Amino acid sequence: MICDTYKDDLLEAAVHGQAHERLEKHLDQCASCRETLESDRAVLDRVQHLLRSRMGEEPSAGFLPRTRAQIAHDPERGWSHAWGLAAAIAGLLLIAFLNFGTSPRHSQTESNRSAAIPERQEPVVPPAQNMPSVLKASGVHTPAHAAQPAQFPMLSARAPEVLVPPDEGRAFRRFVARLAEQREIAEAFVSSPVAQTVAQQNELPDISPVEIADLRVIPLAWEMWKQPQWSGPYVARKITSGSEQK
Amino acid sequence: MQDLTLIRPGRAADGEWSLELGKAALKEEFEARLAECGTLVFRVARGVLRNPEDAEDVAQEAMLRAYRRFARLRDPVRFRAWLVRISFRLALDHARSARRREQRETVWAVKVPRPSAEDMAASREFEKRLDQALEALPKKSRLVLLLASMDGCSLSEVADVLQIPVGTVKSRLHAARKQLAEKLR
Repeated sequence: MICDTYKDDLLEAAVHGQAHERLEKHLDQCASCRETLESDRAVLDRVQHLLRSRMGEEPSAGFLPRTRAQIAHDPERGWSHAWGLAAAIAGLLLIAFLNFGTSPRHSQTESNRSAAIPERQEPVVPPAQNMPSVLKASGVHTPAHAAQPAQFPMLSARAPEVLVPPDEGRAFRRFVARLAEQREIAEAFVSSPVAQTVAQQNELPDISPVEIADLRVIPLAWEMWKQPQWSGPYVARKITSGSEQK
Repeated sequence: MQDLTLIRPGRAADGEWSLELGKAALKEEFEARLAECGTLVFRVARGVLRNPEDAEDVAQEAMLRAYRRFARLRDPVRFRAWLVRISFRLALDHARSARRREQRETVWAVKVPRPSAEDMAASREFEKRLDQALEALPKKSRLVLLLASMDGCSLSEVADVLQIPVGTVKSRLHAARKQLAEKLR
């Protein structure tokens, strides 16, 4: 016969681990309730045993290495393809600009900035007339960083200034930061093969003036380039309407 | 004519470089937490899921999410509580979608495989019933029950992990056991 008198109390007793006084008295007399209580306790023990064994399992040996690898290749934190492309473009810019200004054999002081900026085959003219005011004011293409050794980290002490399209500025900075992280690549970029190896005029590569947006990058005259105040063989000028700004 | 901006990439690189260094430190710190909490996260998922492979996948996903938010979750206590919860939630989602998949496959299957003798064994049957009973539990009680079932995890530690009072842990645990016993009677 099934006894319903203490049905809920039995469950409570099984979960709680002990029965209250009235139930204890009832259990002394009721075999059915004793059996139910034992059964409930056995179920709970079994549940506990199963959960314990499940919750005591160890992950496989490959779990942590796999997780680490997944985190290392997480696209939301790593470099996206777009960044890679931006970095590649920025890299070209970096090569173009840094190569002109990292020759170890030249040095530059603030007073040297007032030196002339002649083109090849052109007469030397005073800088006030020659250098575009916007560039002179900002120091663009003045080799302020030329005194730094060609090896990294040359960027941190006296940072060169570079003109880039506004939307490429961040990519460019990240690229430079990446170079800072990978010294050997940085050294390959910043050591200018032209500046280090050319000793004779006839070894100078024949480069025509190049226009980039409103800037004209012009080869300097050989004799001017060899002067200590100029670290590279080029100068940039701003193009104004009709002619170059002087 | 295109506008150009004057920047000092070298100086900016210094900033970015310290940012990179900060990231490296963050990553190192996360590595330590991964080693510390990896097993716990796996076990929470395993408590919900039927096989350890699925539990590892879920735990891995939980760790990845934690990594993405790690800058905001650096406090170790908060981090562990968040991680346990996210692992539990992901495991529940995984179990739900696995169940739906199972149902679809059962409906479309031409031949439904017969349950093996092993499946018919009493222990398996009981385990199945236990899983169903666990699924019927309120989520909060279920998580408390799972954590309390871990060897050496006291109620105060469960309270610490979940950032709730010990009294709440006790009442949830009691309610969960009672409900399980009732279902499995």
